[in-house]
Amino acid sequence: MIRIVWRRLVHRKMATMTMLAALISVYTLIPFGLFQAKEAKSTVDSSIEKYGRGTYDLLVRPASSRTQVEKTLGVVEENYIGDGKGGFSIAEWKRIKADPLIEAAAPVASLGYFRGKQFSLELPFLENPSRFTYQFYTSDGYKNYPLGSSGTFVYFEQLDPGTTQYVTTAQRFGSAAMMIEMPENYYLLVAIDPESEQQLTGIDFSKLEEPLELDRPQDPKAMMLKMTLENYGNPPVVKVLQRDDLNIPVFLRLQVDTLEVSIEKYLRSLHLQQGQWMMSASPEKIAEVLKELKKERVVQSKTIDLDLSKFQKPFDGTALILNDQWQLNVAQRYSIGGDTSVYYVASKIVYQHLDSIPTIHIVQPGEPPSYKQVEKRGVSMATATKLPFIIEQVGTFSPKKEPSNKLASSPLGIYGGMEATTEEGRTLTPTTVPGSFIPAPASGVTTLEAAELIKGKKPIDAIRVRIAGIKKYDEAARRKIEQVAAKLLKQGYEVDVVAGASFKEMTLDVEGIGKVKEPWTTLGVAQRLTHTWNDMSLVTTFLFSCFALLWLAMRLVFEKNLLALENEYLTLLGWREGQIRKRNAIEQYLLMTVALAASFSILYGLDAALPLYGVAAGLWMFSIVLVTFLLHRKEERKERTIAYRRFSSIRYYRRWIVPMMGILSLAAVLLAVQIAALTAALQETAETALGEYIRNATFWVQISIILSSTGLAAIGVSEGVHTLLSERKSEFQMYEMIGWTRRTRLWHFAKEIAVWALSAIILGLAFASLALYLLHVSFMWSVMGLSSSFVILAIMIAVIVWTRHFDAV
Amino acid sequence: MIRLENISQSFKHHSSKIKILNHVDLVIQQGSWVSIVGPSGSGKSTLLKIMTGLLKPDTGTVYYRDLDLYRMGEREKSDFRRRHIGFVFQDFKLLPYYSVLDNVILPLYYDKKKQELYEKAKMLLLSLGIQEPLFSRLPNDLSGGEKQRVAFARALIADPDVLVCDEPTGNLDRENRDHMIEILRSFNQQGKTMILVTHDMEVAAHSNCIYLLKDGLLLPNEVNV
Repeated sequence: MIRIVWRRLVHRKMATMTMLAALISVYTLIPFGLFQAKEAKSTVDSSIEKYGRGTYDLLVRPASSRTQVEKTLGVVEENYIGDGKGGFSIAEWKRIKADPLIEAAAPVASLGYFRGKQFSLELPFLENPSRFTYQFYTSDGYKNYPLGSSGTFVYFEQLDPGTTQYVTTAQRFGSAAMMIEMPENYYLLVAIDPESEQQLTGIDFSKLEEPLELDRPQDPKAMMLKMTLENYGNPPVVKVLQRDDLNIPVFLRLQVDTLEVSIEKYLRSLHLQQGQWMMSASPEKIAEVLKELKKERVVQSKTIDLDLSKFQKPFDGTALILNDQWQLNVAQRYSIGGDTSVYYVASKIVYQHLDSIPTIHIVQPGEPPSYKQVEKRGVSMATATKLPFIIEQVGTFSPKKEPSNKLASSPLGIYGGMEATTEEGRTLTPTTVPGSFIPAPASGVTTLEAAELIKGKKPIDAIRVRIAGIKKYDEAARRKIEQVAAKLLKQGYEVDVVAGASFKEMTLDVEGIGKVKEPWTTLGVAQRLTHTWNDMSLVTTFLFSCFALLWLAMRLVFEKNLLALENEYLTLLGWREGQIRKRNAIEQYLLMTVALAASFSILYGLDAALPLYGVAAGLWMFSIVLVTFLLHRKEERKERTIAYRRFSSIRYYRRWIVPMMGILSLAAVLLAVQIAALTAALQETAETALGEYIRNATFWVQISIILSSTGLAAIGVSEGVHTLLSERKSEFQMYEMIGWTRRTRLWHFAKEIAVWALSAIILGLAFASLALYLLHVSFMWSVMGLSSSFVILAIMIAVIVWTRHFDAV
Repeated sequence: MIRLENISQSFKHHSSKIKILNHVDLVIQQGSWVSIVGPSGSGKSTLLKIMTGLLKPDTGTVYYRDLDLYRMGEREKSDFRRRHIGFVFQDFKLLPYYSVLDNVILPLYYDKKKQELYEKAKMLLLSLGIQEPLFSRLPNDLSGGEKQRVAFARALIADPDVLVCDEPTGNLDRENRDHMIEILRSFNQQGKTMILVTHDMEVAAHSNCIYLLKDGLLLPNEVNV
């Protein structure tokens, strides 16, 4: 028996090779495809485990703290904890912190926008009398905005190092140097608990807890503070650590006009004698003289633009001196000003049109305009004799660059180095005044006690909670986080799972600027990603398995039909039914076993994991059972006598065509669902940095799954068409003899294939539509998947048909 | 009308070459009935294929009214066959899924209007003794004689000048064979050329000339009947 089977296989070389190739493809591609789906899932899981956890896990806020944008879009801007109105007392925070499930609970209390000390910038003494006209600017990267009003100094001469002749209205008190006071800038001050904050960020904030020593006669700063405190009723000192890595955009435009003037003339105008100091005149007289000087002829003029940004610090700046070469240096002598008890509080930005592109409107026009409600608070030194507090910078800090983990956002909510870009790619930054549409980072931190002093009994806006005992962000970690979240929710707080947050680029429409892109943060994206990829993986595995099993079934039905004619001959020759069945079964078993051995070799060559061999063996066993079942199944056929009116050839060859239609329909479902679900998942996950990372890590795996499916469909259909043509060889001989050209024969056959192939594909796409609907894949991605599947299969069929030879003679 | 000049054809068999036609020359006049007889495997069918432009010979060529068949392109050759040659095969080559009527119109399926073709096919079938009730039947439901008459009707649908028959009576019983011979004779009497390949000498005896194909040679001494 084996001999006769072997001879048949050898005799039908082409058919045997095709069948073997098909079986090897199934036994190799299916385990490979399933493995790839599993691989993609484990890449996703490990990426999330590794990168999914940020600096903290839960954000706890007082009830009803969620902004509209959070509720609607599920995203928050950088520094989103700023500009809060409080809600937690220190006692409440301590109670939350005491929970043993909580490793760290770091509070944040946004206090408002404060100004630090203002230092001076000294102008140079030039050879000739000159007029200096200056204006400070700030910038958001898009436009420059003037800071304060412009001022003028007119320099005449320097008699000796102690006496300089100049006039100005910009200086309240005259001095030996021409000193411009730097502009008033405001910076966000945030209160923290130094110990918890260090737990979260790793930054040392302990200087905030050190006592302030004022009795240090050798330290002019300490002496000055002591004096101020004494003058203003000994108010409490708010100790501040200023952030030292901020870029504070401050620019100076200086116009220098060389004048040809006589000092004597203007001494007379000021009613002063020769040798008297010009700045000793009354301010009114000085203003008149400055007006007069405007009429003087300018001999030479030049404009100098200076970038002072790198010398700016939020709460304690640097005094500067400009030399006659217009270079900036740190000054040894300077003046200090600063009304540190005056501050501003701002509301949160209100985003409109959240259903399309979130829009930000100007709330208070100005230079620069304010996009938030800003309210002035505090007491000015100029008018009060007693102050509620005085700000004193006691040290610096620099937040660690978060992206040791760029994928998961660690939205500490206060340190974000927020940058936005315009449509033209210009970088926008917060300005130095409160009210910028870009949420400002904390420029200084202080203690919770200071927060109570400034903001009242419930100063804390939010508590960032890190759960104890979590090593990686996996399912167990997620459950643990959710357990604590539920507990806090029960206590009436607003709780957000921040673990697994990631960046997402948002487009905003900002009044006066246009479209702006900002990196926002999606809270809990890792959880969503896991769900998305779990669904995707499930769909892929399910469809691929179905496709594999049905493909095999269809293929064997096809083979059985192919054997029908031979079986008839063998019966005529006197073979018993059992013998025929045995011959057919042995042939199929032999083919399947050889194919399994070949696929094992391929898997070995690919260094495949052990379970893949198991899948291949499982498929082999399924094939054996299936072929045994099919060969035992008896079919009764009715011979038809009257011709069908339509699709007669398709109906006649349906035993071959129906299995091929089945394969095509399945391929259409698999490809459409896979492409749609994959593109949707890719798009959804690519919105965030973590998702993008996962997309990049799994992209080729997913593509290889799609290619495997297409390959299987191509092999199945190609083999089917080949066999169909072989069966109809004499038909094509006849067509050629009766004078049909190759083109006519091709067209005739293509029409026939188009009917059944398109019907099969359309049927498959109908099932795919239903599947996509049930999987909640959006309409756009469904259309994308369905049309791609159609195009791929249509091209594949066209290529298979086009490359066949119809020269049967 | 048909002229074969110096036709040779060989086939590869494993490593050796078998010469099946060896410098064959043949002239067939219009309206003649030529039979080619010979043992199985002598190359009769190969000669028919070469004669009708289906198989390019190793040497020599075929002229149809001074047109060199093998200088024609694939499309021209197909058109030539469709318009000038009708084929009748031993195994009928009727498509099992088409009705009798559809099988008959196949040669001109893409050339003429279907209605016109059906009318002509019906007339042909009726003239060949196939009655209307059989028109919509599938070939499998017909007897051997009926199948051959349907195949004959298909060969005549394009009104060819030449009828090429490859063992047309091979699968028929005596009664049907005689009937088929009558049909062939009446076709020949209309002035059409008949080329018949057979090894049935009784059928060949009805032709004007009989050629014997043996050992690659078409025997030069014609047997005039």
